[in-house]
Amino acid sequence: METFLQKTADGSANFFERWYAQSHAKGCGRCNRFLDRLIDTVSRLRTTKQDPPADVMDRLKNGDWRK
Amino acid sequence: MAFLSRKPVKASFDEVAMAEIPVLYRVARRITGNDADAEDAVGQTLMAAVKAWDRFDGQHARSWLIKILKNECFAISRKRGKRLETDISIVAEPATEDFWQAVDWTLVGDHLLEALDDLPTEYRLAVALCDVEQMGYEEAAEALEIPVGTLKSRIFRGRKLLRSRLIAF
Repeated sequence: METFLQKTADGSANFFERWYAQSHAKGCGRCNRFLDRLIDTVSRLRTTKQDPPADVMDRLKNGDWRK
Repeated sequence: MAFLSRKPVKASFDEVAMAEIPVLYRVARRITGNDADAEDAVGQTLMAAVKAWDRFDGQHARSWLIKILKNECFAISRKRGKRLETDISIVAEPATEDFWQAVDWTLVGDHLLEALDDLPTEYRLAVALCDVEQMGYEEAAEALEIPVGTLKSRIFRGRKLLRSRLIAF
């Protein structure tokens, strides 16, 4: 069950896996909380994606690999 | 019908590099733990990749670049005398109840990446590639040169460890 919950949280579950995990979680307090917290954690992680500082980007774009 | 058998056009190295530099930098930052080493590692990766570009088939460029990057990061860290590999068998499984506790995100804020960086390298990389960079399991497993099943167990365990650490904030 945990695998289905994990895949549901990150969006990699197929239709059946998602349906199975969500149906189970509806009737199971522990799994429901687990799924909610997992979705919460994954969505927060996705927001941490930031571009490198502009000066670093410039140096990397024009670095030695261009020579 | 000739177009059906036409091989996909391989993008230029320049196009691929421009698109992937931000991802490479973030991943390098997660591995090395500091900005200067991350920049060095990405620079070295681009140098190595441009030399090998003609031999690369053009498929899954991100995985291919991350594979090179990972080795460059480890080489830099070895030079600095840092030990990156952690024996993950000795990492204690977080208490399951911790996972269900609420995290006060107003307090966590900037500590999220700090907590991620505190995970053992194997878990940190799996979570960084799949959750932060949103790479698919197969693509991330290819980049880390591990079976998909191993990657999944590292992500699943890494998320639990991360959450249990966030509760501490």
